[in-house]
Amino acid sequence: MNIEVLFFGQLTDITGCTSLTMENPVAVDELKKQVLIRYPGLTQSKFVIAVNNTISKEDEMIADNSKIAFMPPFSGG
Amino acid sequence: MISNTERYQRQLILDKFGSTSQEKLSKSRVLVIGAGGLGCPILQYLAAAGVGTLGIADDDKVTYSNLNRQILYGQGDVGKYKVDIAKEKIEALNNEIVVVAYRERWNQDLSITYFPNYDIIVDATDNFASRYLINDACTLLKKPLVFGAVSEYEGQVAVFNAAADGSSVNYRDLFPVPPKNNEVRSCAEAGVLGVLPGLIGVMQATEVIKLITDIGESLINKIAIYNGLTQKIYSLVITKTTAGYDTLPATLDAFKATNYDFLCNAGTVPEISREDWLVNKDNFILVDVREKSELPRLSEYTHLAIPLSELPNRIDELNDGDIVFICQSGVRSQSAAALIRNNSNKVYSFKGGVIALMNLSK
Repeated sequence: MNIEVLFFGQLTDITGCTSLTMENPVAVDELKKQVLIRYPGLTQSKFVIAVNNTISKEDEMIADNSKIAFMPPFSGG
Repeated sequence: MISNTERYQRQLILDKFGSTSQEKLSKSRVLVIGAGGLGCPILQYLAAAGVGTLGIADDDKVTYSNLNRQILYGQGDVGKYKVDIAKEKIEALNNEIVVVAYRERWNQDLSITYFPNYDIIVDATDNFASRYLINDACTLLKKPLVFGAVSEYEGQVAVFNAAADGSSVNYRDLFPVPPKNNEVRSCAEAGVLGVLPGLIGVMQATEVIKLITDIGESLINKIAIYNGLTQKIYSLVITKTTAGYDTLPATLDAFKATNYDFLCNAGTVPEISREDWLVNKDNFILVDVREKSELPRLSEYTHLAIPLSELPNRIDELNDGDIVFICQSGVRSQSAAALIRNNSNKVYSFKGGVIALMNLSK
């Protein structure tokens, strides 16, 4: 199983990268847990998670080759 | 006088545009809130395109740090009100449109009064308090909202409340609750590349023109994220959520009673109870933030009286030391504490306000 995780905005200041590949998560909440363990700084950040370009629900299952996006709110103007 | 055929010639000859679209633009009324990095290009392009009535709202003055991205203003404009300069420049660009300037920090009453006069509202503000306020007003008043926001090298664009079939989402379907202070840094803290709000503002102007003329595929119920470093656009579909529905004020009255500055700025303001304050009152500066007409006055306690409306300009009067803000019931005092949270002082809000202090509820 191969899943691409994308980070946007100030989340990349914490992750230091804009994307990473993950191998075995099965649901969105499990994937979120694993990402937060890898980047504890993200627990202090606000974001939504989208699966294949649609905002997800926590218990949504992730299919192989999915693209997951972590998107924070932007305030600047 | 320049002929309109000549002025708009390049868009009039466009396939799928023509005089019908031009007519729709000239009859349209668009309100742009925020005349900063996003607002400048939005206003310029909408005026140039011939949007019939353009509202501009902003209460800020031009500063030197604005000049890297707010392209309506020059060095000679520093210190002047943005709406005044913007109106002058926009009218010089196109004197066949009507430009209305609002030198105001946008609020609930202004939304309720003026949104009905416009077809589309454009959020070009730079803070979450204004963004949630505008979103909620547009949703309650069923006004299409073109949203744009930037952060460092990236930006977001979305269209809310514009689906013809009633499936419209709004910002609260994406982020039901405003972020806490430490969760997102503003442009003032994190910086922004000057061209970025230019690009995002132009994308917002594009969405406005598409909505008015009904061409192309609008970003309805979608949010586009643009990255200036990679020139990539990533779009997400937003669906209605219960959290979004639950957090939106249910009525206009509930909307009017919402304290957006507090919700979006404060995080948590520590409160101090009457009992704790009475024991320690010599250690605190008490500041009454009620208007001068509000009774009872606090004559038996040493205090400063600075109405909340004047506080932003009178912060200098607060000497070093721990401050307790007090108002009638303990709500405005939280806004006051939120307002000066970045100062070196420790600030508290007096729980229950003067009513609690004087036992007036009994």
